[in-house]
Amino acid sequence: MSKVLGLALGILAAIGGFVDIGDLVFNVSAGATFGYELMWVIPIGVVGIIVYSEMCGRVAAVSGKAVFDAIRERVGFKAGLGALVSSEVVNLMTLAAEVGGVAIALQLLSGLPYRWLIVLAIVALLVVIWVTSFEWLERIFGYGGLCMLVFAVAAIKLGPSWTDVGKGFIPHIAGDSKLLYGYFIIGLLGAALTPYEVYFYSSGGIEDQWSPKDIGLNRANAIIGYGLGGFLSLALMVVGAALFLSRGISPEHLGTIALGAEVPLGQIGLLLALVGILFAVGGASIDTVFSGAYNLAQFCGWEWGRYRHARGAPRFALTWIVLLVLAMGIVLTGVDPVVLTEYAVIFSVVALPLTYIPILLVANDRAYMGRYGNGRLANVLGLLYLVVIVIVALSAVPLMILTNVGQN
Amino acid sequence: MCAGVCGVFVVAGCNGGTVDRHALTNDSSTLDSIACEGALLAHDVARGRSPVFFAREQAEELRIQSSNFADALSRRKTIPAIKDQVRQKAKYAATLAATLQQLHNHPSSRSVAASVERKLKKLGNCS
Amino acid sequence: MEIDIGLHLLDHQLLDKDGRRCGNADDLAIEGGPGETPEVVAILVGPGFWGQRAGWIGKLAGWIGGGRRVRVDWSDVDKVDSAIELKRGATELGLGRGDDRLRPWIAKIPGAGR
Repeated sequence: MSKVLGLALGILAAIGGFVDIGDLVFNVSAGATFGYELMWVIPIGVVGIIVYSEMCGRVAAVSGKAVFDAIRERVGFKAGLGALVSSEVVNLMTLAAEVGGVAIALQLLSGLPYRWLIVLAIVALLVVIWVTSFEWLERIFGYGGLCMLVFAVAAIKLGPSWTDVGKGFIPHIAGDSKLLYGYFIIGLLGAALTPYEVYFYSSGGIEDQWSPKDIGLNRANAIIGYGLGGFLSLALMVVGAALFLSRGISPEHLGTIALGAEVPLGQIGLLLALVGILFAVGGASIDTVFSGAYNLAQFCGWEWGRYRHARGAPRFALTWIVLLVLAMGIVLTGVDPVVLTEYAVIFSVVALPLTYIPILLVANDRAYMGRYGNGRLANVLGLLYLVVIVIVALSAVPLMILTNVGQN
Repeated sequence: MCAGVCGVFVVAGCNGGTVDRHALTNDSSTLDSIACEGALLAHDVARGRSPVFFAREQAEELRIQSSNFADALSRRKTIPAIKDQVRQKAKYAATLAATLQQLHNHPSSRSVAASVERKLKKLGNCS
Repeated sequence: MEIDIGLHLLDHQLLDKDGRRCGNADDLAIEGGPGETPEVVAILVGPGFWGQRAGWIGKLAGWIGGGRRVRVDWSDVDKVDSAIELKRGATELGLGRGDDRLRPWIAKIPGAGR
């Protein structure tokens, strides 16, 4: 039974994290701007997050240490503090973007005023997290997020040219708008390689008391969960390309994305899309806020964990509550969640090496990992992605500036 | 990283300056995009495929966006050569906003939606 | 006990006798002059020690964190495994005070034990 639950953790983490507001915005936008030309980036992102997650999961299962425990121990206090501060800043931006997304989805479903829905969304998240057990949280948001599969149906129904889609999988550089193309590559990879996902996943593994015998489950989780998320990202890009590109529509609202399901599938399509977005982005908010609390608590050595209950881990509980309230404050200033999303994704990519490199070191460290350290495949992939991540991190801000945040 | 963060905010903020040809082209295509998306939404409403809340709220989102453009383009400084074009675009944006307002006010009327769709398609040169 | 100090002690998690997490080893008190083998005599815990680990950023973070300093004698260490396990309870040793002080407030909210 716990193996099935273990898989549900993976699915929640994947759907919530892999199809969060960043993926929604960037994948549909990429399709609406470059058609199918960027399809090849998605599998690269999927394999990347699988590699990163699997390593973190394995570190958790073997050493009993979550990401920020391991980072602080391995690279020391100063570097660890740098990694923590940058992670928490990006985390809060992401959380605000996700919460904003939840409020928008609620508005499109109910017609109630946006500002009230922001407060409602935060209160609902606070109550749901406080009251619901981890298992039920995973179930509700994981399976609710599966409504996103409507975009796969929509993608097929829109009847794209499958040869063009196929050609999109061959890596190539666009003819024109090279800078914008580069910006989208960064954005798509950044949206795929969400670090909060990895922190949540590894801490969740410790909460579930993984041991070395769970390594296989860890791998299955990572591959199936993120594979599913990648498949949904492909569907989103196809929808963007098949529906919006030819009509000259550049998606700038969450509602536009939902329209992508309404046009081919009618009211049912739209409702499933909105519900799917609500649960996917809502689930992502939960992953994100917990990840922020996990990181701080682990770095400081506090008691932490959902399973300890608020009484057992008071500072941990206060942290996620405060983070939600701060996020609410940010969204209430009126900043557009879609714009905030783009900034959050780009900055998270810049900060990514700060946590990836220590984890790669720990995963190779025999003192931590015993005989479960990185094998040859894990290291080849790990190093390959290290190169990718560093290149992406270095080019992110220049490209953002040069393309004026994707407006060109 | 700190320098990068500050740099981005400074540069991104610079966009709110004088309207030049580049900005005008960008704003034009955004306005066309709004028009065509509005047309797509109206198309669905005309066929009864759109729930009322969604149609109303999404039309409002698009209206607010075009209304903001109308304000900005009618007030911002422009380089002299393109001043007329910019003010023309401001009028376009205002018409767009007014048309979308109709859809927002009648989110379940198929006839209003059909007429809105026609107007928007023409405005935005949509396919 | 000969342990590679950097690898097994510094920045590691402290667990009290009940397995409760109660801080990280923020610094170490080492004695032993030149010519003698350095010996760890105490583990130093608390944001008050962060300043000496990371310059002004550490000081700032330490100030935000409350600046507390706790000294855990080496004699209170039971064993050093993947975490540092202590012989006594956290409260006895003055550790985990932040959690203890916050607990009565959090516990007032219904459902805090779930």
